[in-house]
Amino acid sequence: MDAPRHERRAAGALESEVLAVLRSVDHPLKPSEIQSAVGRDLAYNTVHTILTRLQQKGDVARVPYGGRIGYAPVKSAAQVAAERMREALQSSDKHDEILQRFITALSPDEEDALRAALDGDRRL
Amino acid sequence: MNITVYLPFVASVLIGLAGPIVARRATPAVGATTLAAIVAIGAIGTLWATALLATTFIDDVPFLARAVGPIPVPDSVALVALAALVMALVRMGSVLRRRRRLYRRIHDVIADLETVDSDVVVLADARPDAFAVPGRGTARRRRNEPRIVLTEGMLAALDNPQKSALLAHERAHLRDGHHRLRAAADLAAAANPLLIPARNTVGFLCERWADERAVADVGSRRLVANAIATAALAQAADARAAAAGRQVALGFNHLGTVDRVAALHRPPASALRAATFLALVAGVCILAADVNATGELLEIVRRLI
Repeated sequence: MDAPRHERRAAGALESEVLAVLRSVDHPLKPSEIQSAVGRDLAYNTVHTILTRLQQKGDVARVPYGGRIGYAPVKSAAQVAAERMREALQSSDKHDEILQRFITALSPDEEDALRAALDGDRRL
Repeated sequence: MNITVYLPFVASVLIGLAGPIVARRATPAVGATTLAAIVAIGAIGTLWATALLATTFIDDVPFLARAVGPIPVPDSVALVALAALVMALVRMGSVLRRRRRLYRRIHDVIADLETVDSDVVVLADARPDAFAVPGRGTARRRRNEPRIVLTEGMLAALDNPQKSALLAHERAHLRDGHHRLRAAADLAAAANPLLIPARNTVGFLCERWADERAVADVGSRRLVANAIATAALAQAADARAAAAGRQVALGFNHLGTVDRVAALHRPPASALRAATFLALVAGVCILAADVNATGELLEIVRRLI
């Protein structure tokens, strides 16, 4: 019973390793390049399986590269960081009270007032 | 224990009601500092008075009752005080924990970004947003430096002079330590919910304070006002696009973007002495009441020994 679960966890770890390799360079990589970058005696077929799974998840995209098929991460490390930041902010419903935020949500009336302030010299 | 033990609670109602109105009439720096101080004193005063009331329960402990004699505080009041004290401490603990957790999570993300050594971090996020996060650790052992976090969406929404105004605003928060004032007010409001309106005003005045600092840096009230309005409208437009087709309740809060822009369209306010005076009177009342009640507690303790 234990074996499949173990395998799945290992697959998840491999997926993030492959993603990390793809994000560490600023050009697409061929499966064979990924294979050697990850190391660990990974079979070419395994790399291919992982890439297919990542592609289905929308994490990587197949792109033409040097006359062959290469793989590139759909999200960059910067985008991942931005997502993590958003999650961090949403983790606390009080973040507006904690952080020194430049602006916060507006009601429709407030939007109108601000637009008027920007448009003309009308006093608020 | 006479009626003065209840005085801090009366003072808190006054601070909650009048504090915001008076503080808003002073300059933001004076208003924010004074109000945060008075709110903190109010919270400490009520916490201590609550603790004193809770201890009057001892005249019900059989073998102590004879030594102490009856204390003129109803048992029901003592019970309520005990419950209120426990609740206040629990809420204060959660305020501190929430704050620490959020700062840690934000700094964790920043640490993983390979940024050049700068106090400004730009996120690859199309949603316009900007905030300042204070550093972590003590001055001797710094764990994280204070940072200003901007999104690409925010940078795209503002022109260059407006970006300078935004940076000046966020740097003012960090330089003047506004997070400490807000943390103090937040803790006070957790200790005593009567102080919540005053806490909210401290938050608003810190924004106003940073706005005025930005004005001093960039030299134009109009520019800072336009930066705030432009950023707020860009964020609102983005939120609307994200919510399109879905019913999303947008949270509004008390940091009053429109009020800030309006204040920048007016000439700067002059410092108001009344705010300081009011704070002083309220503070003295609370402290006197606490000292009085403490004296009575000591008297009870002496009778015990």
